[in-house]
Amino acid sequence: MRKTKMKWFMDYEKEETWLNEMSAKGLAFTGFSFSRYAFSNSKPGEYIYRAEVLEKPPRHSSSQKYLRFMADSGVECVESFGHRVYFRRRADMGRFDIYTDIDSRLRHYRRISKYWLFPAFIWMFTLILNALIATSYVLGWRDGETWFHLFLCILSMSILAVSFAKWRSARRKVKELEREKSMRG
Amino acid sequence: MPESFERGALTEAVFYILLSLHEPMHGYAIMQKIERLTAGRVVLGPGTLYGAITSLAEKQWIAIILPEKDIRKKKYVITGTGREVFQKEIDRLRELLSNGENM
Repeated sequence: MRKTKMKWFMDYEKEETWLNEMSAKGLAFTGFSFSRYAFSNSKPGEYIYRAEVLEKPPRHSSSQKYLRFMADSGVECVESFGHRVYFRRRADMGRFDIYTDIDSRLRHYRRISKYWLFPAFIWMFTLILNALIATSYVLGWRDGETWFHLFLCILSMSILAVSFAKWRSARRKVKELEREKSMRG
Repeated sequence: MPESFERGALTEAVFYILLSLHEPMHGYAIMQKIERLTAGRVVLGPGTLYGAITSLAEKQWIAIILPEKDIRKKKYVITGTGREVFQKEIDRLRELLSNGENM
């Protein structure tokens, strides 16, 4: 039986925790369908889920090699979304964490922060552009739909705020790991 | 490549990978061997293992054995350079240990 759920996450770790909670209830995440999370029935706690941000998109040859390695290690790639991939492994194979030392966790969080910086720049650009256009209308230099550009300003400001918050949280994690690393290199 | 390579010390992951690869092995077998050797204290995540294996292969401390058939898993094995590095690390650890015990 399939079941879908609509859910929106600001935080990757919370999403991963939620997928594992669903798995504990016997609902195994199988992918996205029309931007909803789809689940199939399984034994409760059959799978452990882990999400990761890849350096290159999943179709890129270097990511393909990595995904092949994961498959050879009993790790199934359930779904991908942009650079983001969702893995699962049977819980009876033991503890499952993708990254288990400071160096590799640091690299992963650096990657995450990098991928939030890019949309932040794009939306900052959109914000400035639309603010300038709206201003030129208000001042009467040109004629046009002021409200439309003000709407775009608010939209890009909100997305910018989200991207920036995500970037900040990943940077905090990077700093934390760097501190730990300097003690236990 | 972890920075600690340059300082001479190997990370625990690299040390145990080099140790395991004295006989050819595929990725999952390396993880299991390390877990067994350390009685479950060191459990390497597949992402960490893959990163380390890629760096080690680039450094030519280990070599990749390509399977004859595509469906088979890739295996890895330590090289001459890898053995030298591993031996040096053993010597370094021995010095560390004897200095520590002579306190």
